[in-house]
Amino acid sequence: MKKRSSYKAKHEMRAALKRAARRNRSKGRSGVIDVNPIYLRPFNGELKARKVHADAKIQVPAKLDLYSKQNFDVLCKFISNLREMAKYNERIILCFRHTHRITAAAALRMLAEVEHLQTSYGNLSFGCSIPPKRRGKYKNADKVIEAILQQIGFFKLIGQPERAPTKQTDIARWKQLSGILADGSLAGNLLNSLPSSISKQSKAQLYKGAIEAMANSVDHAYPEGDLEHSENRWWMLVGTTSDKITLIVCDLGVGIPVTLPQKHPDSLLKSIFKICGILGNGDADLIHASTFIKRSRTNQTHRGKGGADIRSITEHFPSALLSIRSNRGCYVVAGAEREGDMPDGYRQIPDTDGREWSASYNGSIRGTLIEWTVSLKELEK
Amino acid sequence: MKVINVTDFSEFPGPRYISLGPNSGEAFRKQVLIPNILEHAGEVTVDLDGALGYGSSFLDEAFGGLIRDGVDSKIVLKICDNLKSDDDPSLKIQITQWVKEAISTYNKSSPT
Repeated sequence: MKKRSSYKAKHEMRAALKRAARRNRSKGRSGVIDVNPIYLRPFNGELKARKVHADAKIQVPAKLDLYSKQNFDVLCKFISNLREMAKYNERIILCFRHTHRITAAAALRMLAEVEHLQTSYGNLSFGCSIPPKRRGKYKNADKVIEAILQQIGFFKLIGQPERAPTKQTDIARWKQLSGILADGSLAGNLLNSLPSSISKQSKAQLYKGAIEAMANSVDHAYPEGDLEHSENRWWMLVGTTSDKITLIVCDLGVGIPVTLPQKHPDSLLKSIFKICGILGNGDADLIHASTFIKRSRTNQTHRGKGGADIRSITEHFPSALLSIRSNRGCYVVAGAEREGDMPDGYRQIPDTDGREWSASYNGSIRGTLIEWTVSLKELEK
Repeated sequence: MKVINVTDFSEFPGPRYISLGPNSGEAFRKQVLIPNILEHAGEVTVDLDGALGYGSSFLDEAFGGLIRDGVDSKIVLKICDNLKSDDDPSLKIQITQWVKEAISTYNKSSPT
């Protein structure tokens, strides 16, 4: 019988290992596997079966975004799948190969999820595959996806070598951090890194909203004794473009629609619903109601002032936009001079001069994201 | 009159309670305000200027908390009158309002 070349033998072996890995990948919990002879084609030479790790792979959405209703539901499905995979696998590869758009809020939410899963499952590790550099629209010619992942600290989080800092100014100005306490110095240093043209008063307003959002995450989002939410962690991102600043605070707690009815009596919620003209009791309606709560779960009347601080940014800056997304709902408030740019799938809230709108989603974001956007011009005043 | 600069406590005032994070309103009240009120018989001026910003929870816990801690309401209202806040004059109005709310709540709940 004619002997095969060593090159061909190696090729056959590699192909067999790949087939074996593929076959085992769909069987839940991955681990070290031996190559079963059935995956090998007839071969007379000497073969040494080596062990391979079957990594679970998940496709990151093409548009990692939560601003449009459709993309929000895709992101929720992705997060849900990721959580499910984390239960049965020790290594997960996030495939960004087909991802061509990542927005700040969605990037922060994904980062939060990866860190949360790493903390929850001690043996779990992550890897990633990034899109190749190609020319053309959506072809990642400028390595945008890689730059974003580097900037939000994704590579550092999953233990991969960090990339060189990006030269794309909009992305280079993204700053991200997280913590388990409402530590003002963290938020303060982040805000102090913003352009020096921003006035002291404007920074004070942003700080006010940020510290209250952080404190809410630590204080309310994670119920005591809940094993799934063992760490009261929050994540924050500040992004600056040529004309605006975006500040996002995220937590992976049980969400406002869960905490609100637990912490406040029915009578109080009903009266707020009546005063604000809220008709339903969906997640978006409960988030809307939460911005008017002045009283905490403990019925201590002095508490509950943080909600007003979160909302007050839209009153202080007429161009500002506040979005609160929690579980399956979203509530948006625009400043008095903000031009109407209500995205598709949102519903305008009556009697608000077109300044407030909401949306209900099929999927759940499994946590809360508070996002302020303010024009740079206004912050410089 | 003793002048207390909040920036000596922290440039980054934190959340309401000590359990929530560093430089909280509760810590400021217990570690700075109350000892100075006792030492100087209530003759205290608090200078709010210089800090990056204040969450409402910090201010309410620091000043409204004095009433809930049983400090004489006249002393607390005097501290409110003496507050220095040139960076954001609205803080003085807000703090005074919260202190008055705390006095009203405290009076309702305390036995006559």
